[in-house]
Amino acid sequence: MCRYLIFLSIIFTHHLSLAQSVKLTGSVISGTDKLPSASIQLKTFGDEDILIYGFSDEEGNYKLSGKIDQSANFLLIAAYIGYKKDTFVITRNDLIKQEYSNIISR
Amino acid sequence: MKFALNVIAVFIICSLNTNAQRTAIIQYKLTTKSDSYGVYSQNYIVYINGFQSIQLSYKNIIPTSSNEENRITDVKVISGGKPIFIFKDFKDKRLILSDHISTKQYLINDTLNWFKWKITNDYKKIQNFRCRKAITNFRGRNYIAWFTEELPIQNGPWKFCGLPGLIINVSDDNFFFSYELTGIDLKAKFDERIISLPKEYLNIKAVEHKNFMALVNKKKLDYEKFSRTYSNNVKGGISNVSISIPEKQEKF
Repeated sequence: MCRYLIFLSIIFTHHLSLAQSVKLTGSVISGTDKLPSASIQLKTFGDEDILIYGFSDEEGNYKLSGKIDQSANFLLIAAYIGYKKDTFVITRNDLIKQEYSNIISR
Repeated sequence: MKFALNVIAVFIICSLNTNAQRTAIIQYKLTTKSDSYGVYSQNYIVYINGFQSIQLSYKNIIPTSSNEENRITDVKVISGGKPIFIFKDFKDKRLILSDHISTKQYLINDTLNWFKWKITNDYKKIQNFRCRKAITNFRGRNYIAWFTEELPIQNGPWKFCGLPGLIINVSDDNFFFSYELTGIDLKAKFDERIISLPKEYLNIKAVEHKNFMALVNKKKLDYEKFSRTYSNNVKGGISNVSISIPEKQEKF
């Protein structure tokens, strides 16, 4: 059985330049299955400070917000029982840049 | 075209139905320690199915080994009386439980996940799990929890939840109430109907948490009053008569 967690995530970040708040939205999917109640974490790259965490909803989607620290790189981790956890490296610029593109698209 | 849409609709519905509902059975042992009642322990079992879980009290739980996935072999429901339970619904953010004052059972409505956890960078190996320390203050007590990111389940014993991993151990800083994991089965099969309000409570009106605590405190005062009266009546006899009800885990 395929035990890989395919984690398709669209990250829109909403940036308040001083408070460094970000919003994460996306979904957790394995094959065609959306995974509800999967764990999502945004960590500082290098050490393991958890900055934002939460769980996907019954449709496998998540919408989280919180503050990020001064690090240059972050890890976005999706985990689910019985699946290999999926880890993404995101740079600070990506977190912030995507937010700009999000604003432009409005 | 319409047919194609129908096919797609059916496909979507099917794929929704195949949404993996995770089931698990977790066992905890609660050890309570108090001056007047000594050390007392109680076993609990938590059934999890997707967004809902129920914790029930059990006896005769076979002690389990420290394997990662312990098999649960022989459990029996405490028969007689209404079951003691804690029902959590993470989708509807509900927490319903039963508790007692003396021998009277109550059905209580509470709020799910009031915990403001502070996750630290302290790690400890507990039962083969890499556990991380989190602390919180909840209704009058400071708690230290050890959870593991290796098991991404947002649950734990009693009312505890809301950490990015299953709680393995949790206790208050005086160790009056300590919960420890004693068993886990992540491939558990059970009748999912067990995760619902026990039928014994169907005709009972629930009280809100704060009203229940008011009743607890009133009872406490009644007992204290009774203790005093009793000591006054005993002339030259025992002067230290104290009658109390067991301390609740929550102070308010």
